[in-house]
Amino acid sequence: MKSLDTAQRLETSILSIIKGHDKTIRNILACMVSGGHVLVEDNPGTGKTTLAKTIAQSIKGTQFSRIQFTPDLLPSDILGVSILNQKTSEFNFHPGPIFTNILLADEINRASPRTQSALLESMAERQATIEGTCHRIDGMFFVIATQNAVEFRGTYPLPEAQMDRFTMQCSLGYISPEEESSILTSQNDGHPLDHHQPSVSFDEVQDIINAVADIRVSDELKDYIVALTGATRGIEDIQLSASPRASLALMKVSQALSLFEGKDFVTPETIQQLAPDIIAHRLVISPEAKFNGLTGRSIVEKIIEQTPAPI
Amino acid sequence: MSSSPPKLLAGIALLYWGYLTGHLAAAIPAAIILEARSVVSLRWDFKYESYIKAWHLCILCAALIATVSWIDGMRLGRIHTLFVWAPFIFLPIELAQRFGNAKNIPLSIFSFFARRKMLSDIAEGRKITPRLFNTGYPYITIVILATAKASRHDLYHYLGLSILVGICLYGYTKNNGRRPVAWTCAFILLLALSWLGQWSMYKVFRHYRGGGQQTMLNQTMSATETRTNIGRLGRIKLNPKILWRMKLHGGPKPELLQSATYNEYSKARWLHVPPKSGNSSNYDEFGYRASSSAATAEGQRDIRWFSTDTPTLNDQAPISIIGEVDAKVKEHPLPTPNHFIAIGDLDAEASVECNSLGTIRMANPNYNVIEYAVWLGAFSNTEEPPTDQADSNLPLDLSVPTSERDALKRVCTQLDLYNPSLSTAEKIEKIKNFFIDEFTYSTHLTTPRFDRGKRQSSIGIFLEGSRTGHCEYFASATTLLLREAGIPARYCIGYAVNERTEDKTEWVMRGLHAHAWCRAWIKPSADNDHRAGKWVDVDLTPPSWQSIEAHNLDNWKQRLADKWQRMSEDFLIWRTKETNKSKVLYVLTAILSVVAIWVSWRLWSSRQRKEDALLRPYKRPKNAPHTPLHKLESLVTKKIGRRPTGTPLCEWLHELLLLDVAIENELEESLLPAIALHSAIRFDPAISSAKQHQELALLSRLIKRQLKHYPNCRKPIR
Repeated sequence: MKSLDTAQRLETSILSIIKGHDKTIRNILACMVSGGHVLVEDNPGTGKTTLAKTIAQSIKGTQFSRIQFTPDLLPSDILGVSILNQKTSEFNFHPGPIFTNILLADEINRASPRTQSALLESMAERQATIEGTCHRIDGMFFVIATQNAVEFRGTYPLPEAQMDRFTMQCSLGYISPEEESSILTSQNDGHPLDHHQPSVSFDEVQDIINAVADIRVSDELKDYIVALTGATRGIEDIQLSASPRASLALMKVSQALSLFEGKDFVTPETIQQLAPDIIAHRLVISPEAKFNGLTGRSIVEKIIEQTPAPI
Repeated sequence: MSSSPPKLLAGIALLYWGYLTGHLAAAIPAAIILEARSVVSLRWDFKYESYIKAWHLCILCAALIATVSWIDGMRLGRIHTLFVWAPFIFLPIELAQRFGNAKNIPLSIFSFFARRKMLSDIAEGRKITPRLFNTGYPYITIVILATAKASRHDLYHYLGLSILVGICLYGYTKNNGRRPVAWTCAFILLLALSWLGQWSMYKVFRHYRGGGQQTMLNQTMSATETRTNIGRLGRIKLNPKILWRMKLHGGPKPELLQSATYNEYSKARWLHVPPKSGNSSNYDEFGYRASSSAATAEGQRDIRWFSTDTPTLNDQAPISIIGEVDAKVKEHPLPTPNHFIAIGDLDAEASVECNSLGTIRMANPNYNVIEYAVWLGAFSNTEEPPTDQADSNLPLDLSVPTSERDALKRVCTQLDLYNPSLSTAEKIEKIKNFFIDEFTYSTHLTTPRFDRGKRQSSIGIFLEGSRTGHCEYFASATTLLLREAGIPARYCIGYAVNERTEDKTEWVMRGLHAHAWCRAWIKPSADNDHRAGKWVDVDLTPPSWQSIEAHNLDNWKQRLADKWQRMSEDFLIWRTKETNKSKVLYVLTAILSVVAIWVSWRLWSSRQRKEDALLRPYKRPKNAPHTPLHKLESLVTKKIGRRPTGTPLCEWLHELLLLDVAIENELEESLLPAIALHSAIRFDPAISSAKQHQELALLSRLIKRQLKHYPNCRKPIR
């Protein structure tokens, strides 16, 4: 149970900085240790960037880089460029910010689709092909992207393929007044992040990642996962339904979350808890259904309600 | 537009509409259904598509009402009168508004293009602000406007209008506080506006209702008067529409069908002047007499005739004629062949009258499209011989207008028509030759219009100046010349029969076959004829007129229009037959019930699917272990209600802990370990279940005992 202990230390350390989002943070951490990526969609000022930085700072020896997406950002700004060395007359590769462990892609929908898709290969395969050469990204690679929910002007909505690469989409939302006032108190003398000490080492996180695969999933629950994603495929309000990648992600994150909850196996409750975050953003809803107020999340919640749960 | 009207207002408006338009029986249930909203709490969660469906239902209602009206014999040109039914046409959308949960409905449902745009905006992620509105006030406005068809001279109408407008205004301004002066001003303004709206609607109805039967040469025709185009310049447009159709059942084809005959010419008009009632008591003050009628041997057929003695008729009439009449025009001249003796198969309530010139007219037909059979005889029994007017110098059938007399005299002298030794036939022959040699036929007149100041008349110009004209000129000139020459003559309008359908079953008479000619009184040549003489057709229009006026009728548009008209007329006639009325009713009922069954089946099946989805049981795999906790499910169901299909057992059992029972803690101590054990047995593939099973069995017995102290669930089982 060493990995459980590490996981709890990491979680506690982050919760000391980010207040009021216990459940979401646990889900995001589960997503991270399962090898996924997360897209945080929320209103400005709800702590998206702080969350990413806190996660990075809590892990000792981790590399963290941040890309602020803008309309004129180019793929080479993310991946890196080869520059001619005058002395040796050779091209030297200067790796871009993508070669890191934790990548914060801030306001990802502000960049052009061309730049957004530069992330595709790296997110799925942990490698970047630049000028014909394939560069591996070593160790943990976790992309935490943010986008604003309210602003639409001058943005490029993420293409469906890109959306599918994100394991999970979640939002932080507003916190209770008590928690908000405690944030005010904690920031009286500087931002708490400024003197935040790492609580776990990079190797310990690697151990958690390895331990996730040992969490057991029964065949019955695998069938249940497939039933949930499969249910999105027969609904007329949905133009694009969930992929097998969604089933895979749901299983892996359920395993990781079970680890954080101190269990050796996955239960249906864990799957149900994660399904909206993992499936909803992959669905493309028909315009009529959107007008009627249906969202991906509400559809997935309805599917959970109507699919017989294993008992 | 976004506030809803006060309660009962729409219902009152509907009743007011029903009272004024005489559809109270329909208005009362509609008003009750509309106002039931404030009594029952039944509401639906309508989607965007549902509102679109409601709107489509409105359109369907309009189409249905139009179809029913059409079957009922309404003309297509009178389609605007359907606005009276607007309260019913818009009822579906108003019901959707009232019984839906949404306060307002999106305006874009009414337009296909607005809908497409909005959906594409949503699809592309553009931000949309749908324009929402409440149909309450617009609906009431439509209801009030629809009453305009009713008499606006009714006092109740004003009273009702004022009250409704007052309540509307009161409801609309209720939230802005009481301001009597402003309210009164607004009330007066609104009253004036709504009165103006109603008045203009009424005027529109009136405008379309007026007008006689537009037939030949753009003129207005009735049995008593025809306005000719004599003196009018420019090209006369001829209507290629089929006006009448004739079927022959053996016997020769009549060359001309006469619609109406006139005996008095005055300023480009031909009139029917009735004989003095003292002279012939058969006729009423308008110069008409009703038909005698009787049924034939079968006792089914309705046949009318005008002779004093019953004619002997074959069962099969030699001619039948089909055509459309305007139900709003009181008198319809019916085209008939010369020398007809009886007509039959008209509907029983229509009265048929005949004047002394042989014009047959029909009043109050039940249907617009009529078919009637015509029997022919050797001579006419409806046309009276030339009459002597007691107080006139000349008999009416010999009178010529003074303005035309000089020109007529000159022509008669030129043609030597005053010569008493010439027979009538010879005189006609002379005029005929004169016309053929010197005159040309044209519907396009470029002659300068005659000056009112000059003494020359239009017929005079035709005879002596232009020598160009159409059939009305020729017919009028012939009539007047014959009269001047001492031969009684009348002017007659009708149709030339010369076009046959492709399948050669019937002859058609289009607007461009409309024709005018003269009827002259021929004294018998043989002495053995006991009668004083007979009326014969004298058509001196150059025969080329038919080829000149033959339009290009072979285009696809005309053929399509003809086919459609023939089909719809045949259908409408088929429908008016007593035996077929019930068939139509059966077919309509069948269609309606099929639609009703389909709609209710869809509602039923969608409801079933929804219920099924929530009640589907979970099918446990065969090798999956069955734990003692599973056996507790039926017991726990009694305590906390049925487990929803999507809720896992463990999560559901947690609800037990939320119950307010004194011994709660004891249960928690046994339930939580039991749940953990159950989860492990069920979902941990690494566990060998024998030991845990025993442990769980113990715990579950304990839980069962503890649950006995729990009260049963009082809320209905889900």
